[in-house]
Order: sequence, then structure tokens, then C-alpha cells
Amino acid sequence: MKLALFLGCNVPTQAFNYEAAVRKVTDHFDVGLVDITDFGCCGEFTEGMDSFTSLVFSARNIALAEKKNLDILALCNGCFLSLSKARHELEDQQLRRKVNNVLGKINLSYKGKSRIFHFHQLMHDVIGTSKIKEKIKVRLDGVAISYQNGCHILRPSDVLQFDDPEEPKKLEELMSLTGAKVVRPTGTELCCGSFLLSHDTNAAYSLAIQSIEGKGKVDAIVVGCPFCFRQLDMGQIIARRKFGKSFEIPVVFYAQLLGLALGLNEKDLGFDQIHKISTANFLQKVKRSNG
Amino acid sequence: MAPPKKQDANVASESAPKMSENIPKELKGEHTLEDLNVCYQCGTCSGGCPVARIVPKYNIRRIIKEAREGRIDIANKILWFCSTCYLCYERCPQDVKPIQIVHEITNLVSKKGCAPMPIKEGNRSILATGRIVEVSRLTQQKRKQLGLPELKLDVSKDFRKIAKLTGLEEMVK
Repeated sequence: MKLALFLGCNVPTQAFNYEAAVRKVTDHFDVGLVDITDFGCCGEFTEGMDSFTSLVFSARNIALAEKKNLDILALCNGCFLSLSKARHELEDQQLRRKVNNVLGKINLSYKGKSRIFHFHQLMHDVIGTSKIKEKIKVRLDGVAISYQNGCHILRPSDVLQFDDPEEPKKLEELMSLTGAKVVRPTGTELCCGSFLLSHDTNAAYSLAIQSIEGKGKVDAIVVGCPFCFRQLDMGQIIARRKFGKSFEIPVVFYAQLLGLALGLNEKDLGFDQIHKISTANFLQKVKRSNG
Repeated sequence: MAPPKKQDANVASESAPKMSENIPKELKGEHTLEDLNVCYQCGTCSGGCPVARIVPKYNIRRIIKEAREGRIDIANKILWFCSTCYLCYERCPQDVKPIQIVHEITNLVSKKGCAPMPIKEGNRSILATGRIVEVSRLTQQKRKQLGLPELKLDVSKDFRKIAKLTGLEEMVK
């Protein structure tokens, strides 16, 4: 299986630990990733300013993948939503013509052929839990982990059609395969607050802290979006600095967690990069439980 | 509250676009005034809104009500406080899709050149490099150490052309 790897803006610059882990992990499941170097912003940020331009930006990226006859693998929830939403909206032929009028000026055309997958969707729905189970080499029995799904992998559910928007289960299922004890957070629907950063940093981090508090006493928080990652990781630094609240819970991507369970090297999975809250204690605990 | 006099609305849109004006007439896309009217103000949207818990003055139910009555203050920065969690979209018993109405309002505000500076700045970055985050030399170095491919620094060409055609170029000024 071959997929165009859609990195967007944040993953390749602020969360390339996630990217590294995805590249390593997909290798184990015969998924070939193709880099399209002209991929750019997915369009999400522009929606508030001009929804039509945002739609054209998304369609432009999809059109690039279509030229190579490839489906798209998105790593960021934001990219997953905006590309999926474009696909959904462009079912409307009149709107599609309008978008293609613009794309025609840059010699591109949207046809609606390429499908969009999120990394978690690829693992759960395409590769499947039984195949993943077969490949687990290191059981993570000794650690307790919680998670943040993030919003744009769940909602709007009529567009994304991945998991239950109020009672999501798929990430939990994927995490459980590693053998780790999975702790359900209070508020599986909670938002990390990332979108508020531009307008009110206190409000943005208050949302993040609310999310962190909902995880309870765990060894790590698992995420699948670079925005959730930054909010919950950096949010702990801000919590200490500005709110007098002290946490020390590393935030890790599901791809990194799975990489550990597949027996991959922690450095190759980017555990010593980018993380503001150190992953050292978590990794040690994983090692201890494996003798 | 009485609806604003027509005269007031005209003055507002011509001089300083800061006063109330009749937003619904200008709402385009799939929403019409009729769609807004099916909202019976039950408060499911604002009740579940994660932002409202932290910033009580962000009241999505009230925004829908004011949009319907033509009382939106387009200069009010609170319109931009949606975290885009889509809970209101998911839960609305009348399928009003409140988040889409908020986007239609902020789109309209942006067309008048009144988007908040961080929003303009972010979009300018996209038009300058094709990404909202700039790729620094340090990023490239660290990526290389991790065995990741080099990123193309500037993928903005298509984005700039699109922005010229759709009018985004003007809105970010």
C-alpha cells in the first residue's frame, strides 16, 4: 500500500518526533510513504478568514496527490479535518466547478479521487488491530497511560466518519494492544484550546490545563495531533509558571508508543527531541517492566 | 432591545465598520435567515462549549440570536474565540451548525479588512512561504539528524496565486 504523506505546517517543524515515528512504524506494516515536496498548508487556518480560499488551499493539496494517483495520509487532526471537509464539500458539483476555475489557473484540477486517512485511522481501520497485535515485541505492561483524541479526528462526525464523536473508543483500543494500562480521561471530548492561542493565551492554556487535569495520575498522555501535543506539553510549563500547578506527565504520540511496542529504538522515535516534559522516566519504567 | 435603525446601519458600514449591522442579509453559503430562525435558543451549544467554561462572555447561543436580529458587533474580538471543537455542530437538535455561522460572520468581518492582527499575520505567513510555520535552518538540521528528508523552504507560489484570485490577498493587508 502506497500513500502520500501529508505533513502540513506543524508536524514537520514542531512535531517531527511524530513524523519520525510514523515513518519508522509504517515501514513495519508494508505501507510505503511518498513525499510530495510541494504540499503546503492544509487550509485550516484560513477558514475563519475566508472559507472559500481555505477550501481551494485544501483542494490544491488533494489535486497534487491525485496527479500521482495516491490516497493521502494526514498526521495532524487539523489537516485531516480540512482535507476531509474539502472532499465532502466538493461533492457539490457547482462548488467543485468554482474551485476548479481557480485551480485551473495553477494547472491543477480537483477530481475527488484521493481518499484521506488519519494515521490512527490507517492503523485501526485499514491495517487492523489483529495485524498490529502480531507485531508487538515489547509489552508495555508496567505503565499507565491516558489520552487526548483531539477534536478534529472525531468531529464533525458526518464528515470524518472515524469514531463515535462523544464516546470514542478506537484510540483506546489501539493503545491497549501495547499492553499498557489505559486510563479513560474525564471528558473524552475536551479541546486542547490551541485555536485560542492567537486571541487569549490564558484562556488557551486554561483549556489545556483542564485537559491535563482530566487524565489523572498516569505515566504518559497519548496524542495524535501536533496541536494537542504542544498544548498539553507546553501547557505543563505554563501551568507551573503562571497558574502554580505542577504536573510532570510526558506527552507522547501514539505512533511513538506503538514504535516502542514494536521494539524500535527510542532515539529513532524522537523521544529525546521536542518534548518539553522529559520522557526519560516513562521510558525507564517501560524498560524496567521488561526486565 | 429595538433593532438598529436602517440609517445607523448604513453609517456603520461606510465609516467605521464597528457598529451593529444587519449580518444575516449578507450571510452567504448554505445559511439563510430561515436556517437561523429554526434555532429555538435551547442553549445546547453554549452549554457544551468548552470555551464558555473559561471565557463566559463567549456565548455561541447569543451570537446566533444576535446574528438573526442583525445586532452583531463586527468589531467585537469575542467573535474569534471559537476553539473549533465542533461540539455545537455535533449536538444542535435543529442542525443549525453554529460553528459555520460563526465562520460566516468572521469571513464577513475579514472581507471588511477587520480580522484581528494574529489572523492576518498567520495568513500572511501562508502567503509568504506556503506554511504557517517558517522552516528554520535549525529545524532542517534537527530533521537531518533524525534521518528525515529536507523540506522545501518555500512552497508559496500556488498559495499567492490563489489568494490573488479569491481576494484573500486584500483581506490580509
